Amino acid sequence: MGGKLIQKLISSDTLELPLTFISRLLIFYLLFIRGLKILPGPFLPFLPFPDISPPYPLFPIFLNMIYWISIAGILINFQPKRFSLVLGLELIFVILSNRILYSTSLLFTACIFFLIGLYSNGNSWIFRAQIALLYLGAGINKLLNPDWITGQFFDNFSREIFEVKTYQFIAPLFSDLLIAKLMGFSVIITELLLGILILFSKKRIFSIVVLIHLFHLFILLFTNGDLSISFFFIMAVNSLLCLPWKKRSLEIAFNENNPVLKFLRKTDFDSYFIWKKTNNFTLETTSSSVIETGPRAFLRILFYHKAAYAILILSIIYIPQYFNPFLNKFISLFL
Amino acid sequence: MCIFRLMRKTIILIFFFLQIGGIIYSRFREDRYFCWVPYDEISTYKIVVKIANHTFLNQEITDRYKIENPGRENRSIGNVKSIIRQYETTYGSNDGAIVLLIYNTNGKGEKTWIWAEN
Repeated sequence: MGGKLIQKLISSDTLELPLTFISRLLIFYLLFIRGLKILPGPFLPFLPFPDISPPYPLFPIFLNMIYWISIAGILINFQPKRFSLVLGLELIFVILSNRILYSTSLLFTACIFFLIGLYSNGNSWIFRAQIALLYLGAGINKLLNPDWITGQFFDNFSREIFEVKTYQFIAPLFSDLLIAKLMGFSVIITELLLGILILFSKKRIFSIVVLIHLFHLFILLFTNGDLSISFFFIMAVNSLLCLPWKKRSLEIAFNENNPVLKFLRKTDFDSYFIWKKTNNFTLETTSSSVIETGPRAFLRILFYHKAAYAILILSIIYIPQYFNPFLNKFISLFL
Repeated sequence: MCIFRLMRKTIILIFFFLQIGGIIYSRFREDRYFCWVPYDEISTYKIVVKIANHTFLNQEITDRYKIENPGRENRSIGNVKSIIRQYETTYGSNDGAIVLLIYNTNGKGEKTWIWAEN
């Protein structure tokens, strides 16, 4: 009985995508990365009607009750899809009713909750479309902004706003803001490419999801962890929704003497993988008769293994704090 | 069942078209909301507010608009202007405030925007 309850709480995804897992990670983002434990009442709303707060002081309390009930529902796996829909709609409403609260990452999180609520099997394109819209919107806006083309944006960004030592060291070696232009173009091309590929390249979707992780990780490292843990976290987590998640479709041949793999097997709570013992020391995964070995196989396991992925992603968001001071010290030797 | 599926699909499509509309609409506006523009334009700013003979302290300005002062806007300086404009035409419409927004977008030099109802 107790075991079944724990099983239900830990692993809950009966649909073809790990929606509850993603919802829970997004709740982690809301509460601990964004620190949104109390929803503020309306203030300078985008639409006139939410500004009814002064005559109805109970309204913010009501909003917060719905917020916490939805979070609790998702966490204990009680009607998680319905509560995701409620949470998504509520967050959109709260953003519409409070201009100050508006942020791209919060709005994107609200959209994903809303889409999780409306998801049905076979509809995974909705998440790819949402991520594609964000990247295409961001890429097009940058492309049409002259400061991105002339390098003005990136030079100011790296020199004045984030004081990126690596940039300050390398940029003066080249003339005409060349490095700033190159960096700007790289970001624009990456965003536009990600937007297009995620929509149309189903065969290479795993590589695209890895690329999304690397792209945001690079930005995080480049800016000393300042830009932005929120964005890295939500883009990385939500990109998982683009992967094909068919239960027990990935077979892992592993050596029991390897403590990491032993740990991964024990923490495969929802028996997602088929584990096969072998005396061979090379890690091997098989999916739809495609065999992968070594680091690539390990990477695939990490992205599909929920507990390992959660540990990985939560660790990564704190790495730049430790990594970049060393890098900066090294670069300052040359300055 | 079929009607629900159709309704769900319609809602999802409307949801996406609204976002596409937001991206297009924002091209014609100075403020940038609902159009997926994270860190496309960075402005540092300082707000000065004066009502009658009283010049507000930074903390009073933060309390008034609920944004940092001095601060940094990571989307468009038009967003800060929209906050000031909306506040001064609604909650603060009787105050007769004169507001100066001194800002520097993408390091291109300081500019000043002035709000006064009349």
